[in-house]
Amino acid sequence: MNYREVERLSAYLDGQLGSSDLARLESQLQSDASLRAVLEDLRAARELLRKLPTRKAPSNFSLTRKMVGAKPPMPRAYPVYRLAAAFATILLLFTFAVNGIAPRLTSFASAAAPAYGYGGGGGGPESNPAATEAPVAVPPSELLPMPTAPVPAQDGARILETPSLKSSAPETLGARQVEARNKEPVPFGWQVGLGLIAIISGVIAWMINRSTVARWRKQSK
Amino acid sequence: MDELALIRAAQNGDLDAFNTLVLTYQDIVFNTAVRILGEDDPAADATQEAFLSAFRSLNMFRGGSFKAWLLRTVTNACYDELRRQKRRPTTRLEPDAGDGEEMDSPRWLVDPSMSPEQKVEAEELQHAIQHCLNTLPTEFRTVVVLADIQGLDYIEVAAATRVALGTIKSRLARARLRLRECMQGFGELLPSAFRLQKERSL
Repeated sequence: MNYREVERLSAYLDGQLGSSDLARLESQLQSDASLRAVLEDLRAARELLRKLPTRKAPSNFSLTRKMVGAKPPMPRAYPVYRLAAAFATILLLFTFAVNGIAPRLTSFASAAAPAYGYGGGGGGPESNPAATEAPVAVPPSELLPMPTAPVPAQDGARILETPSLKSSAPETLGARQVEARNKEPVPFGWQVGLGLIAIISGVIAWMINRSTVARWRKQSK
Repeated sequence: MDELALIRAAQNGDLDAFNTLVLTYQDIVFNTAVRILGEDDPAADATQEAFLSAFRSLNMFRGGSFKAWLLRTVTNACYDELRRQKRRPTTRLEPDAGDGEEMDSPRWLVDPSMSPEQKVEAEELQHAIQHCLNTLPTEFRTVVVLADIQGLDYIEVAAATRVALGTIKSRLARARLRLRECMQGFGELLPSAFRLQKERSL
């Protein structure tokens, strides 16, 4: 007698055997007395349990308002909106992180390939020395297409040049930031969209919560 | 109001409707808890916890047998209780010692027409069965309690315990066999109750 046979007998007792198993087991039962004995053992155990009287609850388990607290059962939509708000917020924070890290990575890469940094400079190679020598004289229009990676300049002169640029042409810098933003891996529009999703679903979840709690309080009065 | 209407009302936060359901099912739920946990006080705690969590997650109920759904909740509450007991093993000693006395309480007497001797026998038999249930590993005990005491079918037991159907079959078979072996050890103690079983099994 192995456990698989015991299992079959137990399932047989509950009428849970498939027809082929059933026919085989029934013929086995007719010829095998020990199998019949085990079946009767299992049946006896089941009968004992079935006849066990139901223990009555020792006290009343009704819930009180206090036990339940001020938390009524929420509609099914509530967790969906809450989750959407949380998810959108996390994604939004993630895009900020990505956009914060990406320019540094780009500048790192452009340091290795200087052509990228100068190529967009607009002035061409001969205009560069002029910019280095007399930065104030550079017209703002020429600075506009300046690439996103001004920092990895090759020579000290270029680094020195940067502060004077800031002081001389602040409006150019604003334009630069816009351009830089456009080159970020996650577009600004996406961030706005995520922010909107976060805010809208957050507000909906909050409204569902509020109205459910209000209805609940009204009922409990 | 029928059961489904009560459930719908309770899902909308109607606590009175839910408490009507509590009154209907509290004996079944407590009985399940006491058979799984083997002791009254933890079983009462688990029962209360089960109803509270059932109320809170009532919107997860998607039709089907409400009894099976409740028994799933109380099974979880019992497992939580057993985990708590494992974390604080010292608290387990006392209820274990009080086990026998609780079994002899008048609540056990379900049939007032029994003679005093019959009552004593019935109590001893029930005590013996609970003792044997307690010797089973928890997973086996839960399956046998849900299937044979509460009368759930295999699929409902599988859903209540989140265990595969095949595992339920094998656990139930082993649990029944072990219970039978354990009960045979009480043959001397409870002659009349077992004479009947022995006659049938031989």
